[in-house]
Amino acid sequence: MNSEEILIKDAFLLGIELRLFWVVAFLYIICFFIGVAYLITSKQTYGRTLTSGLWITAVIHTILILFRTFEGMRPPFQTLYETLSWFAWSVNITYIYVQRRWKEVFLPGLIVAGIAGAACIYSLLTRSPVIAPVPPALQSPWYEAHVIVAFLAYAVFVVSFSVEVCYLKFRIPADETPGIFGCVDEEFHRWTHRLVLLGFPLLTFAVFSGAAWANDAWGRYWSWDPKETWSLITWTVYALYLHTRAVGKWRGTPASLLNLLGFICMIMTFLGVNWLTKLLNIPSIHTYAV
Amino acid sequence: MLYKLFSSLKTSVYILIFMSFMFLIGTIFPQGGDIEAYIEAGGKYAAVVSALDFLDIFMSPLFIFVTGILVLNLLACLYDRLKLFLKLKRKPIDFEKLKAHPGTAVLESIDIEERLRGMRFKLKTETKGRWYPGVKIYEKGLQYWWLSWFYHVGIILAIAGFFMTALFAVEKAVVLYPDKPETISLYSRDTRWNRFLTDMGMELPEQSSKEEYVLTLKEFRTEYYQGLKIDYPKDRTERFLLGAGLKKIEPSKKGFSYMPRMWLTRLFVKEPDGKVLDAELRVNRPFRTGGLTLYQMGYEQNAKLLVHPVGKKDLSELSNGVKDETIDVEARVPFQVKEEKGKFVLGSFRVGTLFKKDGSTEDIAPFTTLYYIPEDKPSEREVLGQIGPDRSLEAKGITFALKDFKEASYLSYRKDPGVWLVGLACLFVFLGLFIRSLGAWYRVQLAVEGRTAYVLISTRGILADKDRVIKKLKQ
Ligand code: HEM
Repeated sequence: MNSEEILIKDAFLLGIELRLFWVVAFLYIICFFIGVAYLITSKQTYGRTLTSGLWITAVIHTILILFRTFEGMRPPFQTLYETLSWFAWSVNITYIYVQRRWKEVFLPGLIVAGIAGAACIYSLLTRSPVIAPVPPALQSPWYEAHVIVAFLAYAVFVVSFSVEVCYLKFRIPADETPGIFGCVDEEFHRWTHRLVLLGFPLLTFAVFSGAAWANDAWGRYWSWDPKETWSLITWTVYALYLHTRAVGKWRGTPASLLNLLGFICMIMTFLGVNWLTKLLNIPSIHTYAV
Repeated sequence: MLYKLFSSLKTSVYILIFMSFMFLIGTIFPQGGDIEAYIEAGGKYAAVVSALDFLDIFMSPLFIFVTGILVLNLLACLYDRLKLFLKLKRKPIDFEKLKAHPGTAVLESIDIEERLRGMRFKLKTETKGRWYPGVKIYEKGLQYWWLSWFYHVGIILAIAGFFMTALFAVEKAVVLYPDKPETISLYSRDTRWNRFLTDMGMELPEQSSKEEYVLTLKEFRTEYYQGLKIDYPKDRTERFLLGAGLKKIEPSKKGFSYMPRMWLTRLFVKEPDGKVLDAELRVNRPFRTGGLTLYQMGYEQNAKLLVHPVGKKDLSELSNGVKDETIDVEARVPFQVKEEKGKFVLGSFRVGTLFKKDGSTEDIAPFTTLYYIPEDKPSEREVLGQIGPDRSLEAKGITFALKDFKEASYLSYRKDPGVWLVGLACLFVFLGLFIRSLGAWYRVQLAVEGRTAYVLISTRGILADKDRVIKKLKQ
């Protein structure tokens, strides 16, 4: 096959991929609306359908990710178009993995589907899907480890956030029967804590591997670049959350609010930095991923 | 009193909140900028920004002070908890409280302690009740408080490593042209520490030959991919139509683009003791020897540009005041040609090896694009055409010809005594945190009354599974 023919083949494959991606995005949106129906009606059938929907979407999304990997012959998380999809996929996979343990709990799936769907739609509408080969700066094993673990951490935090929001909105004292939330108060608070406990070392590794990579690529492991600093803010906020859990008085709502703040900081680190650097005209070495 | 304040977790929370705000300021104000540029860019808070060092906040006295307080806080906590852990007294819960506790499981007492031991639980302490049965504490797993102690130590080490870097790191750049060896030195009078010593009135040596290396370029190579070009619509509706299968995605008529694949340098490194090493480095794969690390940062390209009016071949033919010129040009640096009001600029030269989509490779004859920058629209770039040492270009009534094209490897080099410490600290923090979070630690409080056993289990770590222990105790 000569180069022109390869180009035509690539364009053809990209066309298929784009359609599949739209399907995935719509499935997330449908899941979201099933979640809304569950929220309004409290009918268990909707809850179960939501979870099944997320499972089906996860399978199709996995195919999409594999397809993209095959198309580019490289890890599928290089451009923002790709990382948004990777983010949505990690969040969904993490959620359905964690959700297996909760028997009658479906509500956080609503938020998970909303976030995953929004990420996919944002990617499809605003980013170019053209496959760029791996530039020199990204050719490092640190890069792969860094991205995979960072997004795993993000995914765990998103799930923790989703549970926390449901907890804050629908919490019920331990002596009442569980309602739509499917479970009593304290248990959920413990779950969010356990999730952050899992996410925190992952985030720590993500920051370290990023520093190790920068040390190889630029010879400077830390540059106080806005993206780096935001990752440190996120890290500190989650460290604060973990500490407030150790101080009796702050264990309840203050800790919950810190978990929400951690989520906001995480989104700032992932997406907001690009926006902020543009808005304030600050140079950033990390914006090449846009 | 002060010790109590410093060893309190609440103090740490307040310090961390304060630090987060300083981090936030560091993301809003461009770090490393100068105050004039800030004012020029329309910065409104110049007085505050300069008084509080917002443009270099992470080296500001305030930030260093707060970090110092955090370290003291950590040290006090660590010392306090070390004392506590070394003389750790486990105090079992009262029998009555154990019995009434909502989390307590009520099991049959036969063989229960053997089963616990079978699961590798160790008896840590027990109380002997006079009126009530005694309560025993069994434990299993890595003691999480030591793990937590361990990674808090790691945090102090990381901060220490950061400061070593900030004080002692030397970082410079060198451009290596073929046949032009360069001498570099790892000594710098300009580190923060040496500047501090100079400020204190100390005399510093000028240069030390003990830290000098001579670099000679053997080869610098750039590699390109043949990039895919596809016309992806900007318009969102069109994007949607594409996704819905109502439109087709097409390869671009513009053909292929060149995308950087790798920059690679081979060179000789003569060490201070005279030994010569054969070195190779590329992006992400630095070369290390002794205290020196060399990094591939990029390249520099320059050439001479011969400029004369179209139709005139040599100097003697020139007339009406238009002069023939030879200009030294560098890729991506705008230059001016006499008589022409706007500016010109050459893009990066494509030179090296092209890795084609069909798997073959091709040597690229050097070429680049010449752009015109109109005087009244300095942000615009008008493409004039391609130019290279063997292809001249005519545009705007001028003939442009290139000669003496040269490409140099742009390296940075660094000596950083803080890296190993930060690396070690990272390992401490990560391992400590990871095992603490994930690992399983159990404490079983047990009291036996007749044939009934009261069992209260507490756990740490995500992998801990209370229910499984209960199940095994029941079997
Ligand atoms: C950058 C600063 C710090 C970070 C990132 C950090 C990190 C952490 C994390 C992640 C935990 C939670 C792990 C868990 O639940 O066990 C924790 C717990 C704790 N931290 Fe810190 N810490 C910092 C500073 C401090 C300081 C200054 C103190 C001293 C007062 C302190 C005292 C404690 C204590 C007593 C615990 C609870 C012990 C435990 O449950 O393991 N920390 N820290």
